[in-house]
Amino acid sequence: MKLFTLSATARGKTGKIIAVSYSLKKSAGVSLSDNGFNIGYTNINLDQDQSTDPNIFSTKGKQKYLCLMEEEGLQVTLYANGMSGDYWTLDILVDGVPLNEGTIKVYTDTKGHLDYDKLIK
Amino acid sequence: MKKTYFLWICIIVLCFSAQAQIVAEDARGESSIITKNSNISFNLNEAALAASWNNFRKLAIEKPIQLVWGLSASGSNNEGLSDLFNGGKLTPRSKIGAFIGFRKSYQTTTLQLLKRIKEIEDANPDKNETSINAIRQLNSQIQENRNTRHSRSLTTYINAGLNADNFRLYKNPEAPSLSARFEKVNFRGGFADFGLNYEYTPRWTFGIALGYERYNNLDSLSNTNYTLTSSTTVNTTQLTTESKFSAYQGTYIAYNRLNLKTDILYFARVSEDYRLVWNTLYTRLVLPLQEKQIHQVFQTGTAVNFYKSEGKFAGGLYLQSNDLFNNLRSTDKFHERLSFGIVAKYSFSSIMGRDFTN
Repeated sequence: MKLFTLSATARGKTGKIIAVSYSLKKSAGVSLSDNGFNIGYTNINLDQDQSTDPNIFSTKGKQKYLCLMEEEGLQVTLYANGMSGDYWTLDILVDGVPLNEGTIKVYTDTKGHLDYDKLIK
Repeated sequence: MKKTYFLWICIIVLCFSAQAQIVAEDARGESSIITKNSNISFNLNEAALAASWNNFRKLAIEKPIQLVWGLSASGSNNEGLSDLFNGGKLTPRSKIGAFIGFRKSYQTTTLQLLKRIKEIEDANPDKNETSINAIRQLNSQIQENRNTRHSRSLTTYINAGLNADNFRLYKNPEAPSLSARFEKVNFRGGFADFGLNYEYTPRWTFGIALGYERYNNLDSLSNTNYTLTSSTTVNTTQLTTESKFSAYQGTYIAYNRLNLKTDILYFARVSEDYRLVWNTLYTRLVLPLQEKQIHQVFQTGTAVNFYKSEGKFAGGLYLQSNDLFNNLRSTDKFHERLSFGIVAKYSFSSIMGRDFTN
């Protein structure tokens, strides 16, 4: 678990720091790349966030990640591999409120990747 | 009573199963591919039940090199399920094993760049512009790298264990006593396999395993049902009792052999909800050692499983030639050496999950 040295009101040069919680679900054949999940330039600790069901990762209780929200949106990157038909879904909440983007769903591409790298609001 | 035990074993195994994935196996429920192994499989044709415990939950997060380990157990009735339903006796055959191996990812560049991103993020908690620009550049490099290549991994493993058969053998028709005629055989064998699994996303997984095994020819013996009748005269009345039991007939041999298994799995998306994994062609070569009465056998087949992407149940079919080159001289007709079966699988991870590494 990353120790928070920032306050939720701290401001970077390119945006503001927000408190984020998330829920990530994947099909059984998906392997998420180690250190490959970042929200707002904060690394998400997948080892720690894995649930009893090995295909579900989420923040628990009051756990939050402090992330950078830029003017253009929240940078989300996730790198994963899988077999044909595999997928993952991601829900992000900022201060407990879901993003307008809604649930993100990504399927395996022709190279066997399920990658995502976008700014979302 | 044995059937009761069998049912209890089924219940216990089902309750303590862990999460796993789905693979198309051969008629005996075996595969050279371990990392996609099914935790529960119940082969309706051969009445085989298998379960495994492993640390595959760790494979949900891909690292450069990962340790994989697991335990597996399987039990079956030699005469199939139908014989149990028809009131037949249970002839238990069981197998326990353990494997350990390493899984190497070939996403080396990606994983190194991701590690560098994390280091930058940890060193710059204020998320300054310089660090963000560096992270963006590294993400661009990752995407360029991944756009040109498929994900690949290689798992190397050793799998070893014990197998057992308990049955009665009709051995000596000239023997004066019943116990001498029907010998109780408790066979204890063992096996050790060395295997490789190669994954090439998004379609293929290849598996090969070479193994040494202490085995017997129980499969080739014939099972016969016997009725023992005894009569006692009580005054002018005759009291007759009957007891039924089964035993195997034929020349029983325990021997050593080499096994070579190969599997080629193909993954596809059938529809929005349904997926399939097709073991396009699997082969099983059995080479007996120092035993002329046992022939070498080459089996080959194909097996397909359909499953719902968010479901727990999978169902499949297999078609197998049990003796492709007719080494056993059982029949010259190729189609008569084919076997066909249905396999049903269920993943119980939603009911009870276990992580032995915690």
